[in-house]
Amino acid sequence: MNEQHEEICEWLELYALKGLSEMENKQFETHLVECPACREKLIELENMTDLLPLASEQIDVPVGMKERVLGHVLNSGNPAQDSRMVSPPYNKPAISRRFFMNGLSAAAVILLVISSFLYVDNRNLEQELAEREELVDRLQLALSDMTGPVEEPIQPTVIVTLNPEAEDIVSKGLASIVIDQRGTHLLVMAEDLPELEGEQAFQVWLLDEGTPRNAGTFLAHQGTGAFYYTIESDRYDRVVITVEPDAHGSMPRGYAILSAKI
Amino acid sequence: MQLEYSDLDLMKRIIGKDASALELLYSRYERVMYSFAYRIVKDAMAAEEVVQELFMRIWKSAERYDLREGKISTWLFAITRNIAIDVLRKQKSRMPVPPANEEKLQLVIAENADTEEMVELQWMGEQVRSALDKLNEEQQEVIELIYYQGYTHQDVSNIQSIPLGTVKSRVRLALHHLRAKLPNLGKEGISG
Repeated sequence: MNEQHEEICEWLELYALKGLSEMENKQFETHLVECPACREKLIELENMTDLLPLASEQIDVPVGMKERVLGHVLNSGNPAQDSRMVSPPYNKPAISRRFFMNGLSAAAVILLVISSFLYVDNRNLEQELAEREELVDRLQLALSDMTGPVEEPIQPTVIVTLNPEAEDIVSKGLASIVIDQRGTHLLVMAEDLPELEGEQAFQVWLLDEGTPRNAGTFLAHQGTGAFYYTIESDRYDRVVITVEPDAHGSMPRGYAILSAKI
Repeated sequence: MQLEYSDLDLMKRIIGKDASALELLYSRYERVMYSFAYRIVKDAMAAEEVVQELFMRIWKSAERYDLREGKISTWLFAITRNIAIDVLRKQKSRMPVPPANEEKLQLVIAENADTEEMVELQWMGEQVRSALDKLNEEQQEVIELIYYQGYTHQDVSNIQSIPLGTVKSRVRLALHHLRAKLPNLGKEGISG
């Protein structure tokens, strides 16, 4: 047994207590393969050093630690190889190094895949953000059109009196045509309107050479009602208000109460 | 009737990604591993992080534990020590940390020792503490610096300004005295 061999044998206790440097550890593990005496003594010594953690005084764990730790661990995603596990046993250094390198390679691949997903995800988010910003701009523009102050004073181009369609009808009203930047609008105001029953509703019709077009329905408050409608065509020649059995008809089913030529 | 799973049973289930098994193993070792981590890092938050990293590694790499060899508790202690020493080494100014202030250590009754294994571990812990206390100061110091603070024998030689051979002989004497004071424990090791 040469001098160097004996010298390394003296590292036995330091190795068992984990007091050697990384390089010395490797040297000693190589030595263990060829030194049965050290292997035998090491088993006894490690049985002893394995007890050292137990010498720690038992202390209370922080409140909520279990929930925090397990919550973090179980929500940590897919399992991945971790190269920092406990040091390899002395007789398997080559295997462990290979495992370590494989672990590194796997980690690199996983990182690459995650990075790719993050890149694609980021691009998608950027695109979505741009679309949302464009939508917000459009909505803000539309909102400003709807709520912005009217720059020009409104002047009705046509004002007609709505006349009763029958002698016993006391209702009266006005129909106005207003043209502004946003289009042509029909404004109808009526009073002394008959009291409605059930699902009845007042309905406004625009006539184009006798063909009615539904402009919409309205209800009255204490006999008075008002109505607003944007006209997309100027071909209409008459406006008629009817009492309808409900507000859902597309053609007149009830009876006319007021009308005017426009 | 509540089944008492062995550590080995739990490890097999954890390899199969059984979260309830991980929780059982955690409950069994939470206090022991936390106390050991605290013994090394001497900071409650850092000790919790060590335990978290420990169980992260168990959950993600339990299959790396060879079910045919070694005690699971030994394996867990070894990983805990590696993580905790890493934490110490990452600290910028690496100075020897004095042993934890006894006043800060809140001794607890073995209320969580609901398994035979835990009762055994705690009993063994008392024996080991008692044996360590009986070592002389120099021997206690080398064990503290090397095992609990992660220094190499070269570091200890530098820190204490003593020859490498002196460090080696103190370690050898310390371990041999421990063996003499704990003959049965040393032979059987930690169960699990």
